[in-house]
Amino acid sequence: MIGFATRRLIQAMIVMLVVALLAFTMFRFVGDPINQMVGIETSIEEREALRERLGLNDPIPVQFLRFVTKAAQFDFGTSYQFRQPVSELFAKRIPATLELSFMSALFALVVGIPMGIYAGLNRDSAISKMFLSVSLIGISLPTFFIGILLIFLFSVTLQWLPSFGRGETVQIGSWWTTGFLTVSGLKALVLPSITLGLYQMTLIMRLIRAEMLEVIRTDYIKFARARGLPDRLVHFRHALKNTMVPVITITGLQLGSIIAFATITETVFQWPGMGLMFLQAVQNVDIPIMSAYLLLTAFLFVAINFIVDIMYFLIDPRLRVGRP
Amino acid sequence: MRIADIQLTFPAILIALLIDGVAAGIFGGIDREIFAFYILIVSLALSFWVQYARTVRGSTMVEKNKEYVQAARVIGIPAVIIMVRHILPNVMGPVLVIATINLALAIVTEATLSFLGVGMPPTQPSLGTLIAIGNDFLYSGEWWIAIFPGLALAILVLNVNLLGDWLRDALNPKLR
Repeated sequence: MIGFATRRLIQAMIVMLVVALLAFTMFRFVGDPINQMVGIETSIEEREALRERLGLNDPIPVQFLRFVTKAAQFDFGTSYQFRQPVSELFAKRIPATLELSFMSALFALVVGIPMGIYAGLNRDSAISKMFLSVSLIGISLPTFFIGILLIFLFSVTLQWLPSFGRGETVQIGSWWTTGFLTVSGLKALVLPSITLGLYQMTLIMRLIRAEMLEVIRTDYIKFARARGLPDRLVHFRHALKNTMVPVITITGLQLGSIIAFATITETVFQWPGMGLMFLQAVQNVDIPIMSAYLLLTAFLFVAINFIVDIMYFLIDPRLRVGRP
Repeated sequence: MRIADIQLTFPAILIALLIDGVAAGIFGGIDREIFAFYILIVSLALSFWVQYARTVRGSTMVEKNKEYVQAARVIGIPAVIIMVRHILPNVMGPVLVIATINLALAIVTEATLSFLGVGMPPTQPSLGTLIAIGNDFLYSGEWWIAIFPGLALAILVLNVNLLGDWLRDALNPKLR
């Protein structure tokens, strides 16, 4: 177990170093950092002085080392467009993205699991077939178009829910702002989380259905039935438990894509999160924000993968035997 | 393969966005109008290549231990010819299926990038751009500008997905 965890940890660190190298290359070589910082009227001497002061004349490996040390302390430099430290900008926006991602993951699980169980147990019923067709359409609709449809239906036509922003937020602690505690904040969460969670929901539903169909045919389920256990007990205690292992893995891995796809959802709903900022950075070629976002998401992804691997190891006893 | 593993942990759309952003930084300004189309192609290709590499590697590792490969080797056929003439046709099945599914994904990704304003420039036609323009008119009640291109996109992607499903069933000898 410890050997497995260390090996994984070392792999994760190598991945992070490679990503850091990429981010550094972007930061250093795409456009001249000096040109972005100073005005047109700055003289060449002043530029050289600034270059020397920022250490841009040092050997590249030294610069890379400095970049990594600074990044480890959450210092990603100053944004070209906002003229503010990138870390402060991110700190302000991380809560919005995390709350949105959490709500959509919750939505996907709470709706997707029962639908999957139902479709797995009654595979020939009309409702299951409807679930499947709906999920195929759900996979085919691009995220942003789902958002537009929802806005058109619930904000423009019915005027039930707001179409942009987070509503009122409450500050908790020094920097975390939450939309969970106000009515308008919760209302603002509904449409973006459905938009973001719909794809994951169809995925979870299909996965559980497939697993259920597989498990329900196995001998131990037949045996449980032969023992005269009630259907409810067989389905939920025996069958469902064994479908959960892949679901946990996939959900964990999908958490990363939820954060990535939040970029699109945040743009459609003008949600003030990291994704929206990243997109504005891409449009304005704001390299410090882009490289910081790359590092942050890479870190999240690597951390999630690591946790999922460890969890898989803990859940599935078969992985523990026969491994060096 | 290590690179593939690392890239596989990131969703394609993020990679495409990043490549697009970096390319915009390198070319900038007017050049971007001309190159946008090619940048888009390259960024989409770079974000999707991993799946092909992974799949082909997987099936090649299965195929290369089969008897017909051993037989070919015994006769003394050069390794290159075995690879191209004997193994390649046998690993192309899954590639075709992935290609159709990825085609659907690429269509969605292109539309998404254009919708976000980092794909095709506004001067060139794209369903994503059309939807982005329609999105601005949504609040004044002119819904058709966004909804119809969106439906066209959805139907296109649904059809490609269905084609992929059928192709998978048709190419799977177990289901025949």
